[in-house]
Amino acid sequence: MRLAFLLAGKDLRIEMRGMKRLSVLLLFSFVLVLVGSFAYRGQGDDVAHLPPLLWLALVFTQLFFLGETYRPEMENHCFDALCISPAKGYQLLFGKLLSSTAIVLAISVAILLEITFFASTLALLRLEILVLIVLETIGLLSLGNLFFARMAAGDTQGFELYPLVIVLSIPLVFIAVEASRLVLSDASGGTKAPFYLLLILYDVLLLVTSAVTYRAMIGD
Amino acid sequence: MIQVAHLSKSFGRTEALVEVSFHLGEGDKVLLLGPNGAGKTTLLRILAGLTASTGGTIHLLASDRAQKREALSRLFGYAAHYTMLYEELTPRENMVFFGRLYGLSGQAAAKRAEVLLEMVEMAEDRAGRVKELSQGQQRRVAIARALVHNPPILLLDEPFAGLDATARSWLTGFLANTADKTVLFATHQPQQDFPQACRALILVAGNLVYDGPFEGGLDWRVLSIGRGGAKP
Repeated sequence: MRLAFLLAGKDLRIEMRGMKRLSVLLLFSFVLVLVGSFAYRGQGDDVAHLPPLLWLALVFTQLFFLGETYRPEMENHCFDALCISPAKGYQLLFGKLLSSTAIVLAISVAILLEITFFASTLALLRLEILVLIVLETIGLLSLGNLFFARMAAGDTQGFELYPLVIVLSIPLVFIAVEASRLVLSDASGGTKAPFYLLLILYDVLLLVTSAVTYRAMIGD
Repeated sequence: MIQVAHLSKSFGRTEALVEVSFHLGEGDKVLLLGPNGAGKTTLLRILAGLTASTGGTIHLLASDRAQKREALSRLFGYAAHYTMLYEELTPRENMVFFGRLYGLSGQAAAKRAEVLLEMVEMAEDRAGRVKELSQGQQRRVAIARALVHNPPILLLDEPFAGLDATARSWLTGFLANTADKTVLFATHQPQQDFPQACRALILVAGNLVYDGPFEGGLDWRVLSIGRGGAKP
């Protein structure tokens, strides 16, 4: 894991120095929440509209970010330098996953606060919601980092990768939305447990598959 | 040191390399010549581990067995016409990062970075971001990056591309001081760029048409006639 942390540290240092992606993502998520809040206005104290609004903003922001995940590697073909290093595929994947997860989670917290502000309710500010976001983020970014590595390797422009990622992440998002509804309706632990379990299983499946196939994915 | 045997690469129906075989000995200074599209970059990318071959083998003579990717990656230092440097990081940060990627400790990588940046005359500019450096300065740091793990073999793919006279002069001088390295150098201007070369490989349409001594009058364009290469 040393190399993964090294790679993630480098990514975060670049991000903190430029703040390019973070600031654009913040603005993008803010517009999404703003538009979504207008679409759902007039819901009164009902919190049923919050999970769809939350996940709409989260998933679109995550998908938008995926295209930018490898931006530092694409400048000056730095990805080539990573590929010819002794680092193993899973180390490269985990490194990118760590840094992209950290960035997406920072944006997710901002989205939670934005929705809280516009909906004037603290309903979403729960640890369980944060756990669901973390689980969904790990799954979607594992998948996204795997596919978008091809873009960094110069094998594709990236646009055609979106439908693939979206289709494969549908179960992940569906489970997360349903679990969020249950959390907000204060359902019992037994009712929510299968959803958490499914999310964890899907994450493990995507992580392992991505780690095993990463090198093959970036090879020609 | 390295034996390349029957190395082939095809992209769909296009054959970029056809059964290329050659040997690289310790300390050899070898020019890789040929017209555009001859397969020079493909050959260097395969040796560097960036592109998979579709046939053939690369053997390390020392152990006489096909080497794993990881071992090969430590063997080669690769500098292309692009720099492979992170623009938002400083030269020093780039060097330390890549040094650690190759297994050096933080302290050893920092020390190595200082030595190499001194060597490429970039010690004074080590704290500015790469994007603030001139193209020539970036190329110097790129050469240093390729040497960060002290590889015995240096693969250079048109490193003079886009450099001004001062940067070219520096790089020529630098290459003259690589006695301990095996250098495989792809270029279009062999006499000017790498006068230390004693051997040349000439690729034409993916075929190795010449593997022999490099002499002043050797012209790859003459050897290309009738092999699909450029006309003299």
